[in-house]
Amino acid sequence: MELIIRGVSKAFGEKKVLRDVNLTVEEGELVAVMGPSGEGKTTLLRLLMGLEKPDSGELLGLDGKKIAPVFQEDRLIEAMDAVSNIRLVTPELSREDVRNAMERVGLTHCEGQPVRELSGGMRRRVALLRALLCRGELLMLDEPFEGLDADTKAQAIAETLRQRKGRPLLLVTHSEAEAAALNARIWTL
Amino acid sequence: MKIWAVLFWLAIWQLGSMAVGKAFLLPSPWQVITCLGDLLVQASFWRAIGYTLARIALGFLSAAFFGTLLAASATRYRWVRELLSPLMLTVRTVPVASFIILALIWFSSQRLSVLISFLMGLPVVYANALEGFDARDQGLQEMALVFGLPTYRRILYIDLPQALPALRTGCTLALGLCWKAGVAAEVIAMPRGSIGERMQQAKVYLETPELLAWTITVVLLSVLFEHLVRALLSLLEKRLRRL
Repeated sequence: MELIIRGVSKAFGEKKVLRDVNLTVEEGELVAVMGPSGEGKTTLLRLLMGLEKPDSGELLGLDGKKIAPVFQEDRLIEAMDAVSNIRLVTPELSREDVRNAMERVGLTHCEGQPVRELSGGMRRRVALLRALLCRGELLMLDEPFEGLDADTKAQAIAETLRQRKGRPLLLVTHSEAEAAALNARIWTL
Repeated sequence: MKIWAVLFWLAIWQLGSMAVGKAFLLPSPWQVITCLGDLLVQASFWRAIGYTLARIALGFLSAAFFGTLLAASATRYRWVRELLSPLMLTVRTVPVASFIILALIWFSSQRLSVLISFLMGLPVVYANALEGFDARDQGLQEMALVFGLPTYRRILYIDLPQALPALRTGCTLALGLCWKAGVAAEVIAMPRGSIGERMQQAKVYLETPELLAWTITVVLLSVLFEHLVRALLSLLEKRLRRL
């Protein structure tokens, strides 16, 4: 079923963050949400994730759907290693399965190392893989390639396409190149 | 702890004992150690340790379990926190002697140290666990919610590890209180075969070296038990880090 955002508005106190937002994401579609900073892209994802309630409008097609998120921050368990962080939300995967996926995005030689000791780019890839490998039906990625160099970004994008498996994907990004690499429809807020 | 500091205070003790000159008022360290050596070969000594250790351990473990469980519930439900607040304040502030006397009226002396240890440990573990749970990272809570993590996985792998440092402090404090209050309860109630009974008998017969030997035994047991609990908590922490 498609995802429909109809006439959604959201304010925090006096500050109106979203005004009458309308967007339809077709089944299996890939949409890049773009726009200047502070225009409510992250707020829109938080509404879709159920972490905020809209002041008005409707969000349709979300009922009972599992979401696979990458948050604006990594939100990893600092004392756990990368494999354990991923297996926390996807326990059905073996450590071996997770290691193989990690290798494809250049995450090697970090098993057993707490993620607090990893670089920003490595942590971002762990957060991305955690979302991609879980069984969420809707991928919602908030600037998932932030802080990655050109090579690792290319690997991460390839892995995103490989693991998407036809699931609809909403990507918050500032980069048109990322949207193009993912062959996503650009939608500006 | 530095050896030289321990030796210094032992020397002060020795000098004080020599100045007093009466073993029943202040025995020398050597007299106490000799007495402890004599006790070590008696089966009744080890039975008394087993008796008291089992009861205080049971009281402490119950306090740790229920304190953590109640703190987790109070974090989740505001009404639980409000309901427990006056109860925990009362348990924390009522003198331990009042509890011991009341408990002696209501229960048998055999179970007294379990109850007193539990009552002394519960509010301390509860307060520390609550502080730990309150300090949880809200970002991780949202992450768990959006990924639809089952409650038991969230508690085990997200909430508990974050609360463990505060919980460890709470357990250490509670353990000290459990031993102090538990043995005090035994000294008053004198359950047959307990350390408290042996201490009371030593007092009655002015066997001060034996009284101090038992005191050293209690201190050593308390320290050993604390190390064991800390080691178990570290093991748990390590286990919860790997999936």
